[in-house]
Amino acid sequence: MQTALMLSVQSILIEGRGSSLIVLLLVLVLFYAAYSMSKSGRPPKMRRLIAIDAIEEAVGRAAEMGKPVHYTPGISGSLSSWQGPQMVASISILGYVGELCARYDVPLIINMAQADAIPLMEETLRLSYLKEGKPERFDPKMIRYQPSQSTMVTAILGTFQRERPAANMMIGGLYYESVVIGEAANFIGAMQIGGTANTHQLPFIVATCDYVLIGEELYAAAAYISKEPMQVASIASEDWIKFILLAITLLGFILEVVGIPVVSSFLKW
Amino acid sequence: MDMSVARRPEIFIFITGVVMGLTLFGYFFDISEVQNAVQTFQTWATGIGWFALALGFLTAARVHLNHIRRRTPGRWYFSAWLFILTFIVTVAGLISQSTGFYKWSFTWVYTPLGATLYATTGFYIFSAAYRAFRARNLESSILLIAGILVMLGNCTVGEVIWNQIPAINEWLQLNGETPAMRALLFTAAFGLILFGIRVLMGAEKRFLGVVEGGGG
Repeated sequence: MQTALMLSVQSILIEGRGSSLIVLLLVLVLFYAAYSMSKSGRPPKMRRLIAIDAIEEAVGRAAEMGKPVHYTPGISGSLSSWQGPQMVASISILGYVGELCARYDVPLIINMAQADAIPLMEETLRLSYLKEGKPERFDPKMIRYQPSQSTMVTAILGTFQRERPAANMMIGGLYYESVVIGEAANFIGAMQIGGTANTHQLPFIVATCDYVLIGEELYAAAAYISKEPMQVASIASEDWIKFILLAITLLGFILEVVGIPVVSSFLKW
Repeated sequence: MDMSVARRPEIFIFITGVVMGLTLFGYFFDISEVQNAVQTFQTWATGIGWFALALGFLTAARVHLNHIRRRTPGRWYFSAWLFILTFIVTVAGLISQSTGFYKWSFTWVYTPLGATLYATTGFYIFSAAYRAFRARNLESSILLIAGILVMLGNCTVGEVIWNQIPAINEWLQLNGETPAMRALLFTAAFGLILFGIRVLMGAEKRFLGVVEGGGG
């Protein structure tokens, strides 16, 4: 019975994707285990995301200085592109930034370049202000749409010079704008929080920002903010799977050297 | 139907879950019905994407129309200019996209302006590097030395100073940068998978405009 099931699964499984499926199933099992632990009152240890903790500090700084907070998701790409998840993760973080800005009465300026994300961003922010009991403080004009990368960069440079925000957050699918915006924000003395999963831009945000969300931390940020059991479980399981796959990588390295290509064969399955 | 029912987040979470689940299933298994459904979803996604784009433009247009109507000081004429240009470019694009004003404005206005701004990146990188490459401790000193070697290895003067510098540059990039970048890509991929699972299970709700402890 089990053999027949295995054979039927094998017959419909697309060649070369078997190992990915196993890893995905492993992720799901670990996720469920971490979730069960969270539900039973023994939540797995969650690492700190210092950059997310610093968001409140940045907004507080802006409140003390009486200056606005600037936020940009970068050029990212449309929601339906492969950069879409970074944009979605960025909107989740923006919701949190919006809540804090509403709480401390800090003006928020958003410069963005994805027309299809405007309604999503507007709705998220509207509800953030509503949650803080200040719906009247939300103004759609705080979202400034710029139609392209260069236009957005130019607009942000102008915004920095005119409005001198106390904090700059650039979190999302960043491209060359990261270094230009980062340096311009440094020039006006703004506290900076950056984050991207685009590895080619990480050196720039590390060089220019005070706090950084590196790679997967961008996706984990929204979960970290909510502290819900399911969200906490997802971060913990992510860490576990990383250690497991690191161990498999090392094992594969050793086995390959001694002429046993088990792991490499599995990866090609 | 009551519109408040149609706006319930459960509906969006359900649709997201079904579409993501089937797409994921179709990635691993070759079942014609599932593949056809995924193909249909992709076609819909393109269509919905264009609608979202149009909706985005309308949202932006509303903001700019308000600026014009209220004659916002220092702003309203730029908003008016936006509408004038949108009209001109749309008409020009409808007439011909490969000739005339549409092509001319992109080739001789938009592209050079973009390239000019991109060219300034070098100066920003220079000032960022100046701050980053300071020998404050052991780690930053190693970074500084590696940075100088890579920089010299990428320009011809490096080879003139010492003919081994290009080889060191290649070694640093192959054995230093590549593994580190791969590790970051590796972890980012897992972050993305878990993010997808959270969206699939309806745990990631903020981007749907659902805020825990309030909102809608």
